[in-house]
Amino acid sequence: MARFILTRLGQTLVTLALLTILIFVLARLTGDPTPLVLPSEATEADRAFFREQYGLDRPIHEQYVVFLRNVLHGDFGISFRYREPAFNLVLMAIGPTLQLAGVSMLVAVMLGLPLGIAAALRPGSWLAAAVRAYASFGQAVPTFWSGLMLIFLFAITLPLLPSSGYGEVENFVLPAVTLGFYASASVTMLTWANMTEALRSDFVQMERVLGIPRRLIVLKHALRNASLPIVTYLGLQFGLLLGGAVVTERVFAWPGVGQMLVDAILNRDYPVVQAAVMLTAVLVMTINLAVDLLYAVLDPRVSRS
Amino acid sequence: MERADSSGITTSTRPDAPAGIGRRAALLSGAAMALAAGAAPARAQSKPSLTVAVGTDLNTQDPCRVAGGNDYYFFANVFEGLYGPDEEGKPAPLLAESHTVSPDGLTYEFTLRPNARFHNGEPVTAEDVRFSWQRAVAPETRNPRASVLVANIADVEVLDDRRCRVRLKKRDASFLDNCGEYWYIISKKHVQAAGENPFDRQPIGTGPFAFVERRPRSYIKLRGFEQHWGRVPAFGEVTLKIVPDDQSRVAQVQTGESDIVVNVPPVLAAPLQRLPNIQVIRAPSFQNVYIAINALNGHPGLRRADVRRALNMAVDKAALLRATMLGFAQPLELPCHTNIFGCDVQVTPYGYNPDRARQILREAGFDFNRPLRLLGQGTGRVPQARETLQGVAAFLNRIGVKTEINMLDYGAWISAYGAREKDPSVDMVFANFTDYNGDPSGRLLRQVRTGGTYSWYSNPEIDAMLDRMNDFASVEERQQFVRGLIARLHEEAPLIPLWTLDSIYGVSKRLSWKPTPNVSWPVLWNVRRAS
Repeated sequence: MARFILTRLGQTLVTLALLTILIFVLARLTGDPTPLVLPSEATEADRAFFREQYGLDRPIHEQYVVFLRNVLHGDFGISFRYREPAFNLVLMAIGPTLQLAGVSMLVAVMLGLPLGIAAALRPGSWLAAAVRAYASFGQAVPTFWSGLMLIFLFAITLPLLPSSGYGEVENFVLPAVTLGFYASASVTMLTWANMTEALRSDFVQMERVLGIPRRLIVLKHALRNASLPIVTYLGLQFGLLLGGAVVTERVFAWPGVGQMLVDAILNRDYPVVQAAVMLTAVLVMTINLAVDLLYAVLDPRVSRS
Repeated sequence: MERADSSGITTSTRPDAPAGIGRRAALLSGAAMALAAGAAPARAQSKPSLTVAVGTDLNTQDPCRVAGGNDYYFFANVFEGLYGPDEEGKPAPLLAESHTVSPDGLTYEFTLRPNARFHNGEPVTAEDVRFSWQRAVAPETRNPRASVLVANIADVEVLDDRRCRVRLKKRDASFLDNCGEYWYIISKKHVQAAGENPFDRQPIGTGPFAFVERRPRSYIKLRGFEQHWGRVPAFGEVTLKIVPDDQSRVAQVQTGESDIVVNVPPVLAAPLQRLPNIQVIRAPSFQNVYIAINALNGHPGLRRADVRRALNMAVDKAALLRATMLGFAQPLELPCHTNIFGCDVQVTPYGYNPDRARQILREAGFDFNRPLRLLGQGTGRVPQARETLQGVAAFLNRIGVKTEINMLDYGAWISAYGAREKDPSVDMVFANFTDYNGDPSGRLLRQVRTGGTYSWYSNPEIDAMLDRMNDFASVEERQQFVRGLIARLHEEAPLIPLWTLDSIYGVSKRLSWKPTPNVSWPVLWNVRRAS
């Protein structure tokens, strides 16, 4: 087990090192930030000073060495736009993103698992048909549309919830349902397919013959066997939500890291782009590692191999 | 929703919604108000609160580091200059009570209002005026906009507490106009006591609203400044909520969560107008939309003024305005809005005349086989930017001119548009330019003078006129001169002017408000409750 963890950690570090080069080069490919940071009244001297101040006038390999050295000291530089440490800005944004991703995953699991199990237990029934329709709808509807529809229904037509914003418990409902609904479609289908298979397997048939209570068979033995792909999917989806919930964050004015990253790219705010990508990358890799470890718990064969 | 201010008086904006959303926020700001140094008398706390949904966060809270028009919704409400816009958008004395100018136009003597105060309660003195200039020009401040006004000040002499004398290096007829946006008055005591970056934590100004707190990318909280010299707001707590998405921002006023939404796009303004509790208020802004023509090194035909005039005739601006902007803009004939100084000149309009346009191009030997390459703004900071350029291209196609459109994201667009060396593979650029006040000199220098940041045009005669433009002591003489310059530019046609955008606001009918015209950001001190 220890060796398994060490190998995975080593891989993670190599990936991170490669990522620093990639993100450094990609950020600079977007172009010179000067015209976006300084107003049109700025003189040529102001522009030159700006480039010098942030080291943008130096050769790119020198800039990279400085960047790497600073990152190793935990310094991602100062945001061009906000003139604050980029890392602090990203840390402020990662909280709301983690919260939203967590609550959304909860919604996805709470909707997807029961629906998937129910459909697997009653193949061919009207319930299974309804679940199939739900899952297709959930996967087909883009979040920018479902988000706006939820605002229209539950903030404007029925004024029950705040339409957008962050800070109160009520603010979570609409964005978490928007994201959770989308993810729940896949969770439903995965649960359904894997449960169906697990229910058909020899050990479940055997348990039935032995007279083990059905509830115990389904929830303890079949579900555990069906859970590996679901856990994988949830891990991936969580990673995706950390950096990729841009649309939902924008629609609901959620001050998260996805929207911050897109704004930073559009404003060519290199330090924020670099800090946001690195921090989300570390988080995603941590989650992947956690998922792998969870595998080992769920399926002891993983660590033995 | 119900909003409770700290004294417990509630303003019910939507009685059927669950209460409590604003409670924590109210407590927070109540505490901040109590902390603010001696500047929150009981009267402020009994006033209702106001919530305004804006589209973007601030770049800075430091008045010497304003990065662009997006920051002014904050600065125009929290800071003031000696002069600034009145309710009609015309320059009027703000912190100054009066001024005199020397006959040579080089020396201004200002008398400050006796009751002008900073948000920390300190009176505004001539020493603060002097300090505001010194900080704005100090190299270590890195004020990116020092070149427009403060760099031309030779000295600010303190005569007594309330009087100061400002000497200019060279005559600048746009001096008073620019005082509002380019020279904010700050407190010397505050800056010296606060240390490095004094405006990051506590941006103390003199405006009708004082800063309370800010959560980046979420909200900025202000409060009405009760000790203001004259523009005391009717509201206590003011929250500027940052809601980037247009649809969601408009939803804010539909649900009653916000009382005012700014930057309503034209396509959303029309349906909003039909709702019973909401008024759509539009005010002419100074945000101009036009097509810049590359008369330097693009398609050789574009170096001829008659060809550029013909291209102006080819575009049916009125039809385009109706179709893309749904009428929410004012058509432009001249490079600037008629409310801009000197732009009220009478000219013969180009008029929409495609047949004549085609004929002029033929007579000029225009190369119809070489397409015009148009550069556009893909991801928009300007409403309907894509559609507008596509419309212009379609009108050009109609007279036989081929076009190729290249849409870029804002960053790539502004880099190309403002590049020092203009790209010869670009023939026309969709562009927008915001005038910060009613004086045209700053923008024309950048827009049409040889070597100007956004200038794709060069003409020694126009350059000479531009260089003389601010060198007048008499307003009347200058006005005549600028009118002549604008008329010449109309003949020279370095641009295809399209329209000036309206500022469009969605406003709850519980409020009455006349947005200041000719500024492109909300000035909130005159928002009142509807009687």
